[in-house]
Amino acid sequence: MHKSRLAAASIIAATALVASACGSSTSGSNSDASVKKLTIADAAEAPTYINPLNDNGATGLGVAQALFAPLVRTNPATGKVQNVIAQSVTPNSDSTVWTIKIKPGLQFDDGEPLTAQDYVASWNMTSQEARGWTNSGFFAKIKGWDKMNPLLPEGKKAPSNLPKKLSGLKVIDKTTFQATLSVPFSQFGLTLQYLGAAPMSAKERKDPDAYKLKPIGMGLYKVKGGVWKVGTDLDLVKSPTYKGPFAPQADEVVFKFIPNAETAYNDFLAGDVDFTGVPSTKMGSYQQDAPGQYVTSQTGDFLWYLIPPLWDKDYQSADVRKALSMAINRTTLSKLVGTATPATEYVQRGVDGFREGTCGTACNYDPAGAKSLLQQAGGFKGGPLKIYYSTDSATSQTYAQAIGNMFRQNLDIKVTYVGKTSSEINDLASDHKVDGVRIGGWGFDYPSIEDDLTPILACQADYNPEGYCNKKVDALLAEGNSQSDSQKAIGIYQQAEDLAMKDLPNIPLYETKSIYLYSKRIKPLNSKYTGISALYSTFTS
Amino acid sequence: MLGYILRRIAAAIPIGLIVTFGVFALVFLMPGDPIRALAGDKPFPPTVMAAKRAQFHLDDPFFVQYLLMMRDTFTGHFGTTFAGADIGEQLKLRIPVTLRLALLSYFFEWLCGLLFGIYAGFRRNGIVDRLLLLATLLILAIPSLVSTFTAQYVFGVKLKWLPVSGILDGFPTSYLLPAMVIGVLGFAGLGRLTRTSVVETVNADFVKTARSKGLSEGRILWRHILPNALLPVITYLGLDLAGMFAGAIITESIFNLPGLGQFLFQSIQMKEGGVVVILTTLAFVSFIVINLLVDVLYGVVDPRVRA
Amino acid sequence: MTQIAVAAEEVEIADLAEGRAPTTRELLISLLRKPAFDVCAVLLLLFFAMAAVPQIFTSVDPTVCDLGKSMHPASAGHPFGYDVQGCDYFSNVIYGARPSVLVSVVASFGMFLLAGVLGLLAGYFPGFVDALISRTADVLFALPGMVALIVILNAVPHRNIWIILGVILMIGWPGGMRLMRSTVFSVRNKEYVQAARAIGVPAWRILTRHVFPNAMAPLLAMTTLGVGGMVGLEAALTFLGVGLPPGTISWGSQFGIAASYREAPHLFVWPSIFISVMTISFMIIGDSIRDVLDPKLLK
Repeated sequence: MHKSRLAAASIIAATALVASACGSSTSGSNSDASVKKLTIADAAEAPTYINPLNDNGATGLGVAQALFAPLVRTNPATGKVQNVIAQSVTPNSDSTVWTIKIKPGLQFDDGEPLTAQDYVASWNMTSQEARGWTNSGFFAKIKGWDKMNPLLPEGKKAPSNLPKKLSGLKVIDKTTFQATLSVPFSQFGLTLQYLGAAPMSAKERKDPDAYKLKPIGMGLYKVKGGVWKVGTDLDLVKSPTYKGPFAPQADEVVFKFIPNAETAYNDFLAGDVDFTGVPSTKMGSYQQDAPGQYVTSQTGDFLWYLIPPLWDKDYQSADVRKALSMAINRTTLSKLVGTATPATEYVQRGVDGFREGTCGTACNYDPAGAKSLLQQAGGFKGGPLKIYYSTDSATSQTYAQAIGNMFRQNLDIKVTYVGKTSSEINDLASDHKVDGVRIGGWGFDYPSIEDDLTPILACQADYNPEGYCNKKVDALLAEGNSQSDSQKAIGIYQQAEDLAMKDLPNIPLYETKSIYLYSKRIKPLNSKYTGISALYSTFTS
Repeated sequence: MLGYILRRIAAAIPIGLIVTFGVFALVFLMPGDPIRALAGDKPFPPTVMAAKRAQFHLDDPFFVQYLLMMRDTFTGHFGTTFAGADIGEQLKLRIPVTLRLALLSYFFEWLCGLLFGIYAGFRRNGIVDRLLLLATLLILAIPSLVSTFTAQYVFGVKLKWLPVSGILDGFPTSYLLPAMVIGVLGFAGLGRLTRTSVVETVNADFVKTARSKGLSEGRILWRHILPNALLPVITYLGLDLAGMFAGAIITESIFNLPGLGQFLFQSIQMKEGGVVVILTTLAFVSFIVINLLVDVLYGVVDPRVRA
Repeated sequence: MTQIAVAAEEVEIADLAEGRAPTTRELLISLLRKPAFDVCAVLLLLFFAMAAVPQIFTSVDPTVCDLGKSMHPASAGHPFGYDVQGCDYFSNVIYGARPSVLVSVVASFGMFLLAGVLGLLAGYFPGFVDALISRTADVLFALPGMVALIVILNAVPHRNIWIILGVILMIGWPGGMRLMRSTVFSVRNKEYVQAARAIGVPAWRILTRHVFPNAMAPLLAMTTLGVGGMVGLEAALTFLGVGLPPGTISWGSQFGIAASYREAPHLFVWPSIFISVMTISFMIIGDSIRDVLDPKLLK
């Protein structure tokens, strides 16, 4: 369980979030037409603090995207990695030692220079066990992280004399630092676009709590007036100290946090916001509600799986899992979900190395074939098949029922449903207590085929509580990680995908795209590599 | 009277303790791990989980957690939510929101409910009475989710008369639509109850006796009918007020009002036992106070009931 | 119809003050003379029949679904169109009557009995009994009902209709109890009760014969008003994610799902109409019974 990874939200989701969070206030009080103001309605609770190092939620990272700049980014036009804050990111021959040089002359909002020391100190801080900061796991591959975060038996408290620094981090000079990894990892450079690795200013490092609502960023925008008042919209203005590349057009960005997605949607229709997401329940009506003012992402944001409990003997036969897969009509299911496309592979569309239909015939809709395959495998034993759904999503139950109806009618088996909160389902899943199938989604943290495979398929991976483990797949993934030629690495990862597909540990269902509504004043950036971004909207008026 | 009030308050303290303990236990018994929920779909490393658990005493036994929570609550050290928000600050922001919503909606409800109810009760089977019955019948028969969503869609999205959601337009603009929805829904119940009560009192013996004694209609109305007819109504109003926190959950969620109801719902979902206890204590205290007032009012209105 | 019969038997009407006691038969006759009552009684009978034997209303199996027809509008043989899952909506609405009728009737009637009896005891026996009941009610009151519902229903491993009913009853009675208690307060000092007490009538007899019939009207009104709310409550629970599990066909869950898919208004309209008609019928019947039962209105 040592492989820990980037924390929760995918970069893509975070980008979209900024995109989704964008709306321009046409009815707002600001009547000055020369100020390009972008109002983003984010259908989420307002963040309670701004600290990208301790935040993996789409909301917090979406805000961080405006306030902080990453070391590198994926070029929305070409899909290639390019430097933002970094001057260069250079690995050694086996991808274990990475030298990162940042551009000279950059500053924090408070005027202090941005140095290599800021990165090293911030990453050390985040990795300290006692802080419990969310993105600690991002640095797990750096040497020394294991010593700072020892795995302890249940109920035992961590000793207080743990090391405070990552032994693998070294400041070379004012703008250069070096990260030594404990395992080869060819994708490390690419992961540096994650904002969870943003630097924290020296002032803030002394007392992070004091700055939780007045962050000192080093990005494109800063908080208007310096302090964000809880309960108000988050108002950002351009930061005069930002000297890096890729500044967006908007002069002012306002984040409105609206916990109810339908409310945010209605706010958009009433003209109060310029940019918002489309809730899953509005998939059938948004085109009439906002004709010509919606944008659909070109890549899939999330890949959704039906996850069988592999530890349960009823699901251990690959044929049973294939029979279930063949009983699912992915076309009608995707239509029900809205903007979704059927998924028959383990890699998200748009990612370098994506091949369609790697699942083969096991993902073709074939009720008769499914039924006979299930009979060959000895039928489905163990009483009715249980489908778990999450009670905190409006549509989870509907999708579960759609799949259940297909199983019931195509395989002639009894189906029952179990509704629980998603945190409880995740809890039960890791204890091997979900005695039925459940639906789960994955979106990469950084656009790499590696990040679509490892978290789901590697033995002991974080998103693999069912415990799928094929040593050959693991070996291929490790081989890909140490291959420094990225095209060769992709070939090896693809072999891993093909091998895992023969076992079909998870049943791919569909890939969802996100849809956003935008006002007539803006045109959001829509890249087939990085998704939709409201922050990088162009202003049309 | 003062002794009576003090006795009631003293009696309320053990109840309050039972309630806080019960609520905390219920939330504790709810399945799911709040720290895992905080992480979303992608899990935290185990060390991060352990550190966050220790921060919120979640690794302590139940009774230790309860006692620590009670100590913090009563010493005013509310601390932060699991997600990091300052609870005291949240309360300061949210209490006025719920209060404004409640006061405005009760204004609508009481005004319409009492006026129409009393009038219709007197002119039983008259045109106002029949209209009232029909209107309240419709209001009560249409599920409140339908009416709430419909009102938001028609007046907010389509006609744009009132803000769709949020409180950015301030008081009273932002609160008008949700308050009217709550008020109208409550009016139906109150109006009918008032009417029934008035009808019954009008037909009661003592009213007939009074009338046969030749007392003036005005005197009968103010001295005999209203005081008696309003007894059940006062109980109803007390119940109604006491329920304003919980009732706000759905309305505040649909209209995105950052009040206590929303806070409560989120806290339950996040298994924030401490926050749920604080909010329940608030609800409890206001409930006790309102009930005391109702009982005192009883004494004033009905001289035969003197506790 | 069962409710009416039970209610009518339950309440022996004998009014010392008025000096006459109508029989159940008399009551029924006077009820049947009201045309509004007749119409609503027929409607309710229809709903109850739907709940008991839905097969006689539709021959279509509500569980045969084709996702390809998701939310399709009405067509020949499918007067209400299809639901989100592509199942015939007419048969689903018909089959949905059972849990909804059960919830509304059992919860309302149970609540009436529970609240009525406890309110009667609390109002008539001040002191220990009143204190016990009222303080328990205080505790339950202080637990905001919706909160208790959400927490408890999230905690039970497998929700079903009886668990939901049980929780509704367990936390719902204090409201009616207080109303009943306050009416009993005003009735117990009435001349006819005092007279009965003076001539040594036993307490339970005074309670059942005199106090309960004379004090129940507001509670009955409140209960009949609440019947529809019970069906609505089932829908609200679905909205909050703690309603009946899928696989159970009910108006509440149909409505809860339809609230999310507003582009297909037929999903929203049909269960709403059925819920509303049933509620209105209950209320009109409740009003009629109250008018007939209420000894003070007998002249």
